[in-house]
Amino acid sequence: MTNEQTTSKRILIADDAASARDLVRAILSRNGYEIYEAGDGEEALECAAKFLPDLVILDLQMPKLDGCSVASKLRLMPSFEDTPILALSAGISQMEPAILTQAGFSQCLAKPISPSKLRSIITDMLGV
Amino acid sequence: MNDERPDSAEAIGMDAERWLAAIVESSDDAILGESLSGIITSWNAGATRIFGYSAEEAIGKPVRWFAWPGEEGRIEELLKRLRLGERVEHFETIRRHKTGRKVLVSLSLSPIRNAEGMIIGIAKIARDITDRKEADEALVASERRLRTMSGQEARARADLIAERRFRELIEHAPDAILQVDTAGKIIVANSTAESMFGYTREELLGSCVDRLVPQASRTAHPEHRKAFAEAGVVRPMGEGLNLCALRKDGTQIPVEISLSPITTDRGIFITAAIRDVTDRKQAEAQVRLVQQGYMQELEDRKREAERLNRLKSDFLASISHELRTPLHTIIGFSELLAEESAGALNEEQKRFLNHIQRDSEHLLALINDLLDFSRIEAGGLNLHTESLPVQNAISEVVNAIQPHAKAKGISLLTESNANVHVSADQLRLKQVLYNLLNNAVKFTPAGGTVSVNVSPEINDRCIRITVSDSGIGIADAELAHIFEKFYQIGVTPGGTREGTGLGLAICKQLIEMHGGRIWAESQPGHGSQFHFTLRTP
Repeated sequence: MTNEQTTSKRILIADDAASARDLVRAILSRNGYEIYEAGDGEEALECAAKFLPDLVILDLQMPKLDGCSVASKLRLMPSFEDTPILALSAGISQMEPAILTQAGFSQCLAKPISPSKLRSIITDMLGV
Repeated sequence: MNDERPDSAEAIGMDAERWLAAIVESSDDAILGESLSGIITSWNAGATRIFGYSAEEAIGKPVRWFAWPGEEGRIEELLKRLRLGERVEHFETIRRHKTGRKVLVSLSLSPIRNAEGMIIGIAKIARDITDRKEADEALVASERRLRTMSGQEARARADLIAERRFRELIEHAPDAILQVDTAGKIIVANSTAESMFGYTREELLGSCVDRLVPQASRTAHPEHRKAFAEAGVVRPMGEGLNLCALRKDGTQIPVEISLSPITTDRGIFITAAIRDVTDRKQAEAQVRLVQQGYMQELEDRKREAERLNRLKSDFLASISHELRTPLHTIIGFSELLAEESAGALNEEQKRFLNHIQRDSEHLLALINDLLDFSRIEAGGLNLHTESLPVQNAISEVVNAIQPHAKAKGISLLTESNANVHVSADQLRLKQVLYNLLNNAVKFTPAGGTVSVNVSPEINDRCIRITVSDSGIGIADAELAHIFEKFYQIGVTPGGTREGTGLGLAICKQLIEMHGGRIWAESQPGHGSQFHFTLRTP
């Protein structure tokens, strides 16, 4: 039992809708993750740099800086080269998967998300 | 006539005889006596004058001797008639003068009878009609000449009239007509030319035609004239070029010119008909302007349409986000509640929650349909076509519908079509299948069957997929309209009017975007079959 194992994983959720952030928190809370929230793209980058999350969830449509731009910028930062990044897309795949991959996303989930699906995909991405 | 008989002369006395003789001698006409055989017995001074022979030379000679060659036959003819007692008057014939010339005579002959009435000789009076004959002939000739002359004159007059008419035609022709000699000098100019070019006829005639050509083209003109004269074909000049003529006042007018060569003894002259086309050119320019106006308007409208389309697409994109955001949390939290993550729920709470969840899903479906349809209409939907195993899509959708069908006691049947592939967008194929299967289950009462079949189309380049149900069916009248947007059929067995009426319209759009067909068959009260085709890869 190392300290790392008992330390919770940190997850950053960036979405301009407060209720959407709350939903993610509510869904993932049972797994004991530490949830950090950001209300726009710029805040997301600041938050990421400050708290160094193990996984980042980004809503694609955000003011100031959209999801794709945040993902690309994160990938350029040494701390986040390999960090799993999940995209939450607004509708039936408006984004071509190729574009998302190129921006730096590891996975994509379409809204509205089902709680169970979100939990399982996060578990996968964290390799837990 | 009996007065000339010797009896009456005796009665008068010998003076009568000498009187008669004197009359005979003094006559201008030739008075001859002939025997019945045509021998001359007496010859008067008149005969000498007319024929040139003296009495001594003539008397005793046969009349034949004096005849002009060819006329002898007629003498015999005359004698015959006289012997029969006929008188002959105004008998015209030809005699020979002593000098050899022709003498035309008119003869009057009568038989001389003795006391017993027997014909003993012929009395002949010959009148010289040479002059008269000549005069006659001269008259005839002159008449003929006159007639000929009149004919010529008449023709000449006709020619003159024709010429005058022709001249008038040229003179008043609507086009300017010029005729030019080999040196380019104007030798004919009509009045239209005067008004067109602004020169008087006197100024035009004798001047060089090059003067009427604008400066820019003037130097080349003489060569063109020469070339045309040599080619010699009637044609419009400078076809397709914009020709201009130079007026006296320096202004230019657009013209059309037709040329024709005339061969004369002084070389090849050129006739030109020149038409002022200012009006036509202006009209053409007008038309072009109007056309340009229309083209411009078309461009503007196209650009406006494109702008509106873009606005629509942008609007749809933002609306999509706005509408789904609240729904996303509604659905998410509803599910969390249903999981009982926040605590156990009693039956009533579960029931309430169930409604919330069902209607949220329904709302989501409506929004998705609406946005899908709008996007396809705006041309903003892109297909990601690939070679798909049909079975996978069918299985996935069947699995998704399975709970719903099971709840109604409806059996969902499929065959195995492991090797069948289609060329389609995976997401959209599933969307169509989901729509059709959902409808099938919706409109089939409990205990019924819904099945999905795959078969190759007749021409083998397509695959046909059929969703059949044993449901309430669709009336013929409705069948024609079900794929129209916003068309909804009656009520479901559940008694609700669900849906937007867009589901089938979207299916039709999607299948047609794939290049396929979609149609339905139905037997009211027994079931329906929805078919659609997709291309094989």
